[in-house]
Amino acid sequence: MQRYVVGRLVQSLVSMVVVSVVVFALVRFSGDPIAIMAPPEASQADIALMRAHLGLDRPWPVQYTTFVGQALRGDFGTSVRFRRPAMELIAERYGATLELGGLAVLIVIAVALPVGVYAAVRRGSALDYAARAFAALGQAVPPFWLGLLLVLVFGVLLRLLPTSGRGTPLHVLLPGITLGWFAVAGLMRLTRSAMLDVLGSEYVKLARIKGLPERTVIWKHAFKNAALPVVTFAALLFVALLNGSIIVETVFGWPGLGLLVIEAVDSRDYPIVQAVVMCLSAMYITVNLLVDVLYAYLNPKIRYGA
Amino acid sequence: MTSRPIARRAFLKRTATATAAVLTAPWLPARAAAQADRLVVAVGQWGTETPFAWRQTQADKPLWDTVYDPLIVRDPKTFEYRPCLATEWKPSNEMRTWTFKLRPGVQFHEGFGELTAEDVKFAVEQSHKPDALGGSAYFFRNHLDRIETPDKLTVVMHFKSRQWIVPSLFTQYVGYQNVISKKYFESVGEQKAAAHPIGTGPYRHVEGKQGDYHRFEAVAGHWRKTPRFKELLIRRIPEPATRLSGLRAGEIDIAQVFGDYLEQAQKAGLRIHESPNAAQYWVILTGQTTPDREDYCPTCPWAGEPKDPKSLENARKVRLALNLAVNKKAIYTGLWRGRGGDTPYSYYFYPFNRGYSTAWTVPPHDPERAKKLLAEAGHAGGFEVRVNPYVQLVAQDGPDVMEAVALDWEKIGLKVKRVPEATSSFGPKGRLRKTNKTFSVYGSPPYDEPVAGWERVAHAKGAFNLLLDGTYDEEIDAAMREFDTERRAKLTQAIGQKMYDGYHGVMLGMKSITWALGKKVNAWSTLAYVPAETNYEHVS
Repeated sequence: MQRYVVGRLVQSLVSMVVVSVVVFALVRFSGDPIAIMAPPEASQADIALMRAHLGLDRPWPVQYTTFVGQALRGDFGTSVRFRRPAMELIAERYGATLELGGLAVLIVIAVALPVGVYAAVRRGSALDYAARAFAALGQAVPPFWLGLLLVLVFGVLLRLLPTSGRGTPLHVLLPGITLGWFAVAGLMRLTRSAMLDVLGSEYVKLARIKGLPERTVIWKHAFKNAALPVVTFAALLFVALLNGSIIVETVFGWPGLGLLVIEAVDSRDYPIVQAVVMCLSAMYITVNLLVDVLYAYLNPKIRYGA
Repeated sequence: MTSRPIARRAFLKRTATATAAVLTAPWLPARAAAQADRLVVAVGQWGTETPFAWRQTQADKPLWDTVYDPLIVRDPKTFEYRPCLATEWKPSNEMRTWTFKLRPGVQFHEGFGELTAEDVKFAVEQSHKPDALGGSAYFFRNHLDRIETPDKLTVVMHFKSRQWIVPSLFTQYVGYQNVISKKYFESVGEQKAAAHPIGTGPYRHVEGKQGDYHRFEAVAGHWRKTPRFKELLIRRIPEPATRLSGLRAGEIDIAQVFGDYLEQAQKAGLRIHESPNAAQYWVILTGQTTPDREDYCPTCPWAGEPKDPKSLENARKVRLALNLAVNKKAIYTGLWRGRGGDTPYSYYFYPFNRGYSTAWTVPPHDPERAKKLLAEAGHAGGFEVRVNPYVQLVAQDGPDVMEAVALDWEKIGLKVKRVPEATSSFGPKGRLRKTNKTFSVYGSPPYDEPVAGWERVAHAKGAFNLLLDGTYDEEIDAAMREFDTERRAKLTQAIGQKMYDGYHGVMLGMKSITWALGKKVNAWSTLAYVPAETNYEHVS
């Protein structure tokens, strides 16, 4: 087990190094940041001055080494647009994105799990058909369209909820639902199919023959065993939702990390782009590592196969 | 005492009501306040979000102009100069020296004292910072010799050479010189001063969050204009459909609308405020540049070989054909919804500019003649062009307009290759003249004099190529060196005429910039010809 964990840890570190190289290179390959930062009046001399000031005139290996060294200390440089440390801006926006992602996860778990289980248990019922239709529709509807539709209905027509921005608990509802919608559909389908597999197994039949209450059979015996792929999906869900927040935050003017990064890309604010991508990658890799280790702990066959 | 069991339905109902009350409680007062003395403006984008002139771009103006007073304002109807912080300004020493007399008694916000000549000097001298690239920093760094302040209300600027353009750099909209409090800036430093700017304008900055919103408070009894709304909230909402929804829901009072959104706003009963002829539209025919640039393309049908008069004449015919092929009326009605049209112009020449000519009509729609011209130029079978349908600061409907043009070009036999690329990467390529000969739709804002615009964007040494490079450099330089206003106007008109006759861009027309107004707004006098929101103090 120890060897397996160390191996996965090394793989994760290699992944982070690769991510850092890719991020560093992509930001620079996509164009000269100075060209968009400098105003129309700037001369070539001004541009050269600015390039030197930001250290962009140094060779790429030197820039990369500096970037990694500073990143390890949590310093991703100063935003060229806001003239504030990139990590400070990320910290300022992170709360908003966590709030949004947190609500989305809550919605996903509260809706997808019970409905998925119920649809499997009552296979062929009206609710099962409705859940399957919703699952298909939920994954087909683009979030930006859904977001605008919700704004139109609940913000403009019914005037029940604010159309955009952040401030009160009501502000988070529409973007939270929009963000969670896609994941609800996905997790619902996964839960249903996992439960269907388990419900036909011998030990579930045995539990029923033994006369256990149906609720115990479903939740204690069936769901517990069906939960493994569901847990994996849910673990990665939160990070995936953070990524998905880019569209939702843009539609709702929600001042989170997604909006920050999309604007940073647009204005070639490379310290922010680098910092956000590195942070999200680190989160993703860490969650993956934890899931791998958890899997190996739960199922020893995995670590022997590694 | 006996307790009566509560019914499940009643319990759920009461719980739901209580939850709704708790959730709504903090929101209701905010909404109520929004109904009264608060003006909420939604903008799609702003720039570097810094209030400082030496770092600012034009996109920052909607956010900060109301916190400051410029030295020179403009007449809202004619765009002409009017005194503001400066009561008078005059040149001497053959325009090498400019003297500004300041208005006495103007106070900075939050008790930072009276505005003096030292504050003006301090603000302008920040342009000498090595990383100061905003606004007019380049001009001052290269041309300013020194600034003297003989008394507390007199600023004397000495330049290394004769400069007629100086007043324009201190004006509303075109200028960038927000006068900051030296005392405040030195006491808190740039970062804090940027987060909470102190100015002398009709609105005082209260608080804000970068990239999200900024809240301002009206200055009671302001010397220039006391705003009608006590509170101003400027929010950044990038999605135009969401901005429109906010307007319809009554959460937003002012937001720019265009195209389909304009029509939807009208259908929803919102009033439309229009700034007529605020943006000249043309298609940039990239490739007309100097041989040292990557975009240089003597073999491109629309550019021609500079040393071959026949090739140049054929290229001119091709450019005229590209102009004639486009159905401008369809753009005016279909995309601009009648908010814009064929007001005559030459590139950067607005109706208020000296030397403007009404003979500079937008070329008509004549596809048959376009085909003949192409045949005469040796391109009867057409040729391939690359177009980038992208959103530009002033031409926010750029993708739609570009597609309309592309469809018309295809009708005369051109093969149009669409290569969409975002502003973030395409803009820098324009600066570097490395667009791979890709055309795009451009919306031009006004300059005080067209030659000031040409020097920046139609000159080989200019920062961008937004029309052409090299061809008129000598004439532009000559106009910039001419200090007699009348003679300069004649030189400028001659260049404008040549540019018009050369059909260097595909002229589309002049578009109005339109805003939708909520019920709280009665009237708003925006500046004529200006495509950005800069004067919320005039909203009533």
